[in-house]
Amino acid sequence: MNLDAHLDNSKKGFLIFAAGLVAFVGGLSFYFAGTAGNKIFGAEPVRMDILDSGFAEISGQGRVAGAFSAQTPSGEASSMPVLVYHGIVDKADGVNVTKQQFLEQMKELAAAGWQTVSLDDFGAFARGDKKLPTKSFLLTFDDGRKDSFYGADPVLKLLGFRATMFVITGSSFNDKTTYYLNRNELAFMRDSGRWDLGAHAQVGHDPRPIDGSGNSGNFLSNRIWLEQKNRLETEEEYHNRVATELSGIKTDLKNQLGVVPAAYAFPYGDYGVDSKNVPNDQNFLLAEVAKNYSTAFTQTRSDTYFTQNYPENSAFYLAKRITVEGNWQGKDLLNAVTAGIAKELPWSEDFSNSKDWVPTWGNSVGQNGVQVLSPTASSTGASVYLDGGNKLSKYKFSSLVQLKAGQSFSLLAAYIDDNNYLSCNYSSAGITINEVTDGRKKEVSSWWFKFPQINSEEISAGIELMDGRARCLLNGKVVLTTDRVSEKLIEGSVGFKVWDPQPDKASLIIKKAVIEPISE
Amino acid sequence: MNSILIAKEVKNPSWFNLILFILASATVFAVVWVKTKTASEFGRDPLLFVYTVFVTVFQLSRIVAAHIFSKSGKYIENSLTSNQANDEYFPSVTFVVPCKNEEKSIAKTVEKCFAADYPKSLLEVIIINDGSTDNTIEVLRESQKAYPNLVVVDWKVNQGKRMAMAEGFRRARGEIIVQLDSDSYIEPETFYQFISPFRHPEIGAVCAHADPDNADQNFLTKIQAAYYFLSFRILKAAESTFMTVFCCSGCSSAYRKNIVLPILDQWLGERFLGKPVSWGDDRALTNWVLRKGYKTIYTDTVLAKTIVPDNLRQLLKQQVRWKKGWFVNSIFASGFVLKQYPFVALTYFFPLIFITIATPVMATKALIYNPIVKGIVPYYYILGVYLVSVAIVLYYRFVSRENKYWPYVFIWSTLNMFVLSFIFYYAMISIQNRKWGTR
Repeated sequence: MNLDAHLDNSKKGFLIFAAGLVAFVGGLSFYFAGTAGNKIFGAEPVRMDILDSGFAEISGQGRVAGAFSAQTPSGEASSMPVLVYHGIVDKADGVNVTKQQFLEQMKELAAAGWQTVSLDDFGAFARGDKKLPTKSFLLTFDDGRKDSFYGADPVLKLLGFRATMFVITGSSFNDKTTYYLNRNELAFMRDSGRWDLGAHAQVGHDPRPIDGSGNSGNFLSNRIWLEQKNRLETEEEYHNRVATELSGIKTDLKNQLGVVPAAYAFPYGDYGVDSKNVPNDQNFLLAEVAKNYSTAFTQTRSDTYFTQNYPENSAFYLAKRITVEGNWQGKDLLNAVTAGIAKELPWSEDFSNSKDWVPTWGNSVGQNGVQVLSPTASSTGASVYLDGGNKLSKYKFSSLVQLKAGQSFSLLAAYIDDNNYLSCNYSSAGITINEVTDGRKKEVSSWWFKFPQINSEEISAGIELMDGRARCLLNGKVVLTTDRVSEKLIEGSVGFKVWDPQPDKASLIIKKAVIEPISE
Repeated sequence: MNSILIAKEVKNPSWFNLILFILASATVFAVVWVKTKTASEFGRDPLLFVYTVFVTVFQLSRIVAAHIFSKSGKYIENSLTSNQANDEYFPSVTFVVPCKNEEKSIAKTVEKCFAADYPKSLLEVIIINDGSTDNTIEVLRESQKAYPNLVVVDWKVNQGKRMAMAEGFRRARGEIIVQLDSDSYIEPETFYQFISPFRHPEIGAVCAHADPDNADQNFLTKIQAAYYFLSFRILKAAESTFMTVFCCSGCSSAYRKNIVLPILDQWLGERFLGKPVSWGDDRALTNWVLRKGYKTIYTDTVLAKTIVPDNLRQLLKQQVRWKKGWFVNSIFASGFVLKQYPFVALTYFFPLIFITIATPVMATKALIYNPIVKGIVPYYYILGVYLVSVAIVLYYRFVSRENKYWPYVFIWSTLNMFVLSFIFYYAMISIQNRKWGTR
């Protein structure tokens, strides 16, 4: 018998053994690669290749942050803007910015001398514990999405910027998620020196049913419908659920990453104001947040007015954020962060750029160095206020305007929001001083006279605000005075308003606006 | 003396084997873990990933083959006819030892040859003094007085190792030729196992197990002791499982004379890129035996000792020489191996060629390019290399618990990863330098 016959046995043995090994190794790999593996060995590692190539793509465009800063900030900031993004996408989707847009936006800010601050520094600034240079801003992202991190991180690295990610712990830590950042990625961010982590939600990000007929409301600001019990949860159940959610995010971040988040961002910016069935529990919600976090963030809403955050001497701070829109270019973002900078007097506007004037009603359009206020097709008037003017007091606000169409126009002062302000109202029948507090309008003083020129001539109109007093000016002269002004209306911004009983008719051309300090 | 034992029986206490088994399972588990961790890097570097998986599977498969080796001895025994098995088998044996300037060690080599546990009348020793310039010839003349069966061929001018070996083969009177390096010897009491396999007519060459005689001389020789053990007891044993050992080591191998004589001229005349090949003579000779259709095997029951380089410069020179020899002979052999030994060609021969060529490229990518250019620290690459080393060490401990050099496997792996694998490319560049670069 020759050896080859025996060799066949060796070959068979080898193949069986090797096949067994391959099957074992393959099977094990398959198992590990699946959910089981994720549980045993943790989530997928950080995709360094994406970060590396992302950085390589943009690093050719100038590496050092200093290369972009045209100006070095000087002085201390009295207010600070906070930006919020939700995602950074590859292709424009109308809601989120693209990678290229994000890069442009950040470079635009850097070139103008803007610098990011850490979440802790923002908190210290907001509570008045720390001064920060002018042109400081806080950059934040909600939801803990992978695309935000992978899109933003190379840009942060390039510019020496820092950002805060608000995490949905239930999504990041439990699932083998491909959409939300996993444990490894969050740990990488924690250690990167470029990211701060904050709380956004545990399980309560998405709306829940609030009745048996399919209506839904935000998780934290509503008592939710208990499907199995066929009833609304009790107040006690609601309170417990909110407490569990808010402390749960913190516990998750601490257990999984050793991070104790100092800040919380309300999903949809709803800090109780959008409640459908517990409208009086807003204070409970804020108090519950304050138990766990020293800073909370909301975002641009129709009921937020001035865009920036001013220090307050309080343990808990509710900060505003500017939601960056998907169609914004770099210039738009720069306008958005500069618009709300606290105005220093004297201050004047030539309307070459009207970014500081925020419309709350109707349209406000800049053209040929003037600003035109006009109603929309269905409204009867239009109004704007000046961002960054909310802390102004003791000033004379004068303007050069022309009422192109409509019955009257107003100059606003002590403007806090659409429900609280003073106004000088000019019409062909005369001039009145109005006071609006908590949405209620009161005529405090008036001077009736024939004033037909109002519809044909340029008018130099003004309003003065002093402690407890207001005066209306016409052609530089005081024409109406009152000292019966609400104590509430001592400081605030300025604005314009135009009105006519007929819809889509009124039109006010604003040519100049000046604010000067005055003393008694 | 009748049995052909070509594998030593493993006699470890069962608790020891159990520990090794548990550790081995843990190692395979860890290897798989590392690979799954790197699987996600597949997107970043698919080539490197496929390569490391391939190499790991290949290396583990070598351990598998080495393990089956212990069975192949029985196969040879079982395939003997009853006549072959029962006859006393004592063929005449000739030692062929080329030497140059070995006045200090050659007397001991001769002495050890004649000390073999074998009928003295059947032993012959041929020493070819290949142009020594020292007193080697005087020492040999002296030895001849004590051993009448010592034949000395004295060449005044050096003609090279291959020529010297051929001269020895031609003059040999023995049926079996034992080829030794001038500083090697065989432990006399294990000698019969060297000859015994030739009882089977298909066996053409037998390679002894070699360990460094100067293993404890210094750190470097200890590392080589570990390297010798794994390259013989694991790699050659794995080759031997399929009875296709591609290199019956020049320091101690036995050949059947009537196979070698007809191929001597072709062997001597081998040229590569127009020049004669001065290294890899042993590998070339073994390949000729395989090409003729005979089996070549390794046995761990015959113990040979040899001297290994004791400094890095000589070790590197030796490695360069071996890699050149391996490369040239792999090219020569690839045709007939694929045709005559397809199984071995596909599971071992060609994968090894691929890995040897690819390793320096991949190591450069993983250890230099990726960290510098992409900022990827090669944790998993290095971890993978050492995990395979752990697997090898565990098997090492399993087959030879008494061999104390196993920790040096890790150092060898380190040396191999950072230095020796790259030497292959140096060897390729300098392939036209045919100097021996003697130790």
